[in-house]
Amino acid sequence: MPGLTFDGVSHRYGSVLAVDGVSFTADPGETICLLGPSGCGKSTLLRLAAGLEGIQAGSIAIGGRTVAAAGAHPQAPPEARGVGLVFQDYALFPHLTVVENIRYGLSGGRGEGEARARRILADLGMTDLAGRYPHALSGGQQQRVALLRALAPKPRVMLLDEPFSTLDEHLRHEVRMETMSLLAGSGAVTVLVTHDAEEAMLLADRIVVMKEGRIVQDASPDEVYAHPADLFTARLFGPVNRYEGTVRGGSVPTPLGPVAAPRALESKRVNVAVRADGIELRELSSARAGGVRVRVRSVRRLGVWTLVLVTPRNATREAAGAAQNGEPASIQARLPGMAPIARGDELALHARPEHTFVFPVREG
Amino acid sequence: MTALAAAVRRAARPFLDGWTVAAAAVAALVAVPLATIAYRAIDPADDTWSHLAATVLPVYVSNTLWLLLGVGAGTIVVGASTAWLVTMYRFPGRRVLSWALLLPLAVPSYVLAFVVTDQLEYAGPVQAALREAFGWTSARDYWFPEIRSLGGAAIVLSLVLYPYVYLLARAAFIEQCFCLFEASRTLGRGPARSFFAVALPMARPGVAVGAALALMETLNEFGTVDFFAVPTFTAGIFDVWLNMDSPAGASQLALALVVFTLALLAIERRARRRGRVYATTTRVRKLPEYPLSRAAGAAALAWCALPVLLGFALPAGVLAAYAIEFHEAALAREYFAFAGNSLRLAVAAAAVTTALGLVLAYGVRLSRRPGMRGMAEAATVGYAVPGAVLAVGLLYPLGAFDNAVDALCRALFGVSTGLLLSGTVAGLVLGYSARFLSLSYRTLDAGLERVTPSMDGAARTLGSGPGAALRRVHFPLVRPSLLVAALLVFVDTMKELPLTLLMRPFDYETLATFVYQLASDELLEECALGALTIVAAGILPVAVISRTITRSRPGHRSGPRPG
Repeated sequence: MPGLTFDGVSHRYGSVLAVDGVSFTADPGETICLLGPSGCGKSTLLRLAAGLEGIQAGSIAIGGRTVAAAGAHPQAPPEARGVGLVFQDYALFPHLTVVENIRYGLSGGRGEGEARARRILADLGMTDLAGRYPHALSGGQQQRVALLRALAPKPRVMLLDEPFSTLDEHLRHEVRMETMSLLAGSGAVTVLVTHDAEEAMLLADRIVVMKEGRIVQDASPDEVYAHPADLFTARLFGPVNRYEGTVRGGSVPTPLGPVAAPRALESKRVNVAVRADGIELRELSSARAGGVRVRVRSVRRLGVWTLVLVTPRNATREAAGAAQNGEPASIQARLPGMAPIARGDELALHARPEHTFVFPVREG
Repeated sequence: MTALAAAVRRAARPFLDGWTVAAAAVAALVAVPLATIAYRAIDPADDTWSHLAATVLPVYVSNTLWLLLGVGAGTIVVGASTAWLVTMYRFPGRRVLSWALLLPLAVPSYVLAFVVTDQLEYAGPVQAALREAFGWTSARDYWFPEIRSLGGAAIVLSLVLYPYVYLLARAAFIEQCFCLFEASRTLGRGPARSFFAVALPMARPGVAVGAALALMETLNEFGTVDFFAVPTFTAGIFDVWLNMDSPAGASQLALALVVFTLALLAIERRARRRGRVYATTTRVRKLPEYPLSRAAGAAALAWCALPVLLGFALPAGVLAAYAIEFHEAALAREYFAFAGNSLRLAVAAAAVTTALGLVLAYGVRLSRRPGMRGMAEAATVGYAVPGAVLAVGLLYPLGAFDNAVDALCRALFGVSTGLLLSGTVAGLVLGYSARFLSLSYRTLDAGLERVTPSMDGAARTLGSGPGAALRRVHFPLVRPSLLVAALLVFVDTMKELPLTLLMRPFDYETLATFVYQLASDELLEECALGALTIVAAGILPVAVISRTITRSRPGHRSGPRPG
């Protein structure tokens, strides 16, 4: 039985179409990440699923039961949906202690609820926080309490709205892992909204990429990374070098050399995207040299990566300037580790085919 | 480095000390009457207290407590429920009601008391209509609740004071992150349970502040309780002073009343602090304005319209009808002379009080002495102290001042100066200033918040001296607050009754005292024009307040959309 189903859901705020014909299904135990920039409608989907926004078009079902459908039925109110929602700013009740917050959604008597809430806290070694008020908690503790509060009533569907976005970088990783293990234990459908592609890769069983209210791609993390559906999706996973051109004889000319294109795109305008991570720079003297000769313009070493900007050495003015629409003429490369490269070096550039994508240019 | 900075600051202090002295002088305006009361109350020569304690005191205490309880419950139920409905739900008339619910604030309680009595007494239209309808001939044929009673006073006062709770509860509901209510819904509680479990507790500080303000007004209240013959503390002060001719006894009662007041004040300040702790919200979302079904919408409309009808439309309508019908009698009663007195007094009080409030607000900001904030808080206690208490406390120092000046002048110049402050308009204005100082101080203090220290710094580094910075930066920024402060004091002075009754010059009438006296003699028709004038003036601050709250919500026109 499916856990959560969106079927043809659209939603407007005034004249703005925030969600446009979205359909997807999430199965119990599955974790889905809604990935997209802010304003793409992903938070609205969560609010619709929770019943915090009235349905306008399409229908939503939880556990096979329709909870909201445009027109016909009165929709189920949020309290009757069996949905847990972790808000971006946690929305802890400031007038209740930690244990009272967690107890809030539990049915049954006061004592019983209190005991269960305390057990939940004890399981995570957080007993000492029980009597504290939310304003006396750190950001990470607040996030944990919000998660435990939403999980306590054992919802069938867990919705998380950018749950890690307000945490410090170093805390985020730890809290993410802990959150996922808690969610995995709950057996609920998990839908997590994020604008961070790396986070989505880390957490999701499936990634649903959204843009301007529409689903762009719905696939496994590996698939989304290896075969992005369009330029927008490719760009979510880090910087790309983009070139526009026309396919002639099965390939597109770019400053990185000709790039092979599928037959179906022959003589069409296309965008070529090459990930900065997909660019290799080799010594000119190395046996495998070849590729495009480039000169290093700048080097920025960030520890994990080295960001390098290069320009083609022997390119004609036109080829170097073939960068269109404000794209910098230089080529961006992201090399692993502390690459031993210096400004002014001359190197041979290779674009890895698995990081090179060709997308048709959409008209209009 | 810090030592150097401290030294520089210390060196700069003498210049700022003028502010400290001025602020201290302003604070004395409130401190002196309170100290006087305390001093006179413990005067061992007077044994009125034991007499009072044995006779009337228990009555005063129980009446005052019951009245506080009734008004507290009434204002909270009406104020909080209407605020919630108007904030959260969409129903016919909601937009109009959201500001109309403030209108009863414009009606002085004694005016409503007179009107309600006029309508409900035996000879009034309601009972006449009942007799007509049921064929009753005399009062013995039926039972009708006595409006001139403790319960009646509680109802009347609740009807004009609930806007304090409404105002602050509404602000609290608007400010609280709506996501908390939503979180409660997703955790399985319906709208009604979520209201009681989350929204109301979150708004509790606001509701408490509003109720405390309403109760302070209740303690100050004289006209209604006097007319309804409900002997409370304030009524007792009048009685002991004017009828029993015992100023010391009045001081003792006043001191006891101050204890009540300080308790309320403590509740209010504590609630404000709590409110700050609760204000942890980070995101403001457009409020949902849930639509209501037709029946529920009609019920909400009826519930929210009722207090407006009873608290404003009824008195305004009755007074307007009388004012038109009896305008000749009203004008013959020197309406213009009294209106002129009221106007002059109110303008003078507004000017003086705003100026004093400005001195205090600047004093606190400029001299960063730790004691200053506390002094300012003490100085603004006046608003909580009932007018009758302030009057009792001010008369002695003013009289002593007059005598001293008179003696000095006679000794030096052989001229008698007579009464300068006691029993004069100047003394009355001073009394208003002591009472309404916190209105102007708080308004101006909030206004000055907008002038950040870095703006000062910017002005100074761009070449303005302290005076030029004041004129070119501070004044334009503070000007709206100055106007609001002056307006609030102006209107409250127009309405003020107990202080005016006790401190006015002999034979000097304002609209308020005139209305009170005529209406007490059941001549409401002839003073209706005067009462209506006070109500009309009272609408001004209501308009200002309702404009500020609609503006207070960030992005209230185009709330941020959820991503």
